[in-house]
Amino acid sequence: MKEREFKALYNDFGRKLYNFILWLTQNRSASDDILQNVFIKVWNCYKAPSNSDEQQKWLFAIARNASLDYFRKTARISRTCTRFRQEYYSPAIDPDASFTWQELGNLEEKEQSILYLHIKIGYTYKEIADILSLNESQVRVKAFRALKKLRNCLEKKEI
Amino acid sequence: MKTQDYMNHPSEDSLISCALLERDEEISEHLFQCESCSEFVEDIRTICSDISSIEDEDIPLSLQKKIYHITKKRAKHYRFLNFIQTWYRNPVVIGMIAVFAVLFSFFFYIFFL
Repeated sequence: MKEREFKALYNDFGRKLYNFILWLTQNRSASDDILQNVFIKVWNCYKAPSNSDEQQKWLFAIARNASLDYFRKTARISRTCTRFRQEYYSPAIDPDASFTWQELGNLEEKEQSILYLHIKIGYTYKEIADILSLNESQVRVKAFRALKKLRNCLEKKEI
Repeated sequence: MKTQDYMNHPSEDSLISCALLERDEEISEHLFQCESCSEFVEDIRTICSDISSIEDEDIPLSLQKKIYHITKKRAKHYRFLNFIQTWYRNPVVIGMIAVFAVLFSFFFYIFFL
């Protein structure tokens, strides 16, 4: 990959990836490390997809895998991702929001990824299925399950 | 006025689909009549709008510099590796070797033979 191409990828998608990683890890310093690893992988890659949409999907897949690698590494130290999050997470969410970072952290990683990619980025279930290596109906089921879980939290709060 | 029709509640999945803008006439009609289902859909919509309204954060400048720096370091490394692997294809290098060989054989001939 040429340096010019690398910088273009960084400028176009860096911020989106950073926020996706932040959403998954809920931890700023971890997100910094992961984003750095993502771009090291991108730089070492022989050839990126030429189409912009494909590039974005490809980068989200790399970012997700890099986050999972990071979770695996930290899990060795802090046993579980949940504990890791509770120790370090820094909330940056509207205080009146219907859910908290902690409730979000209780969702499965796949559910979190799906919610973000579908609702925030606007990917269809089919596109998310490609990124997460699942099938479309699995993605749909997980999205619905995640929304139900968040809705249950909201309901408990209202009571 | 809204009335409760417990017999014909759509499934939660159908309601979520409806909340995610997958339109369905029957469900829309039901929502107009059923308070609990319309509340459910409203909650899902609130969650979705809260997710989409989370503000994106900028990448810290220090991180941006780090990413560029690693790229530069690696770029030098790769340039050197690339040179090692492809020097024999470089016409400048081949020309220099040819000139050096000619000069060396010339001086060798003059001084030693």
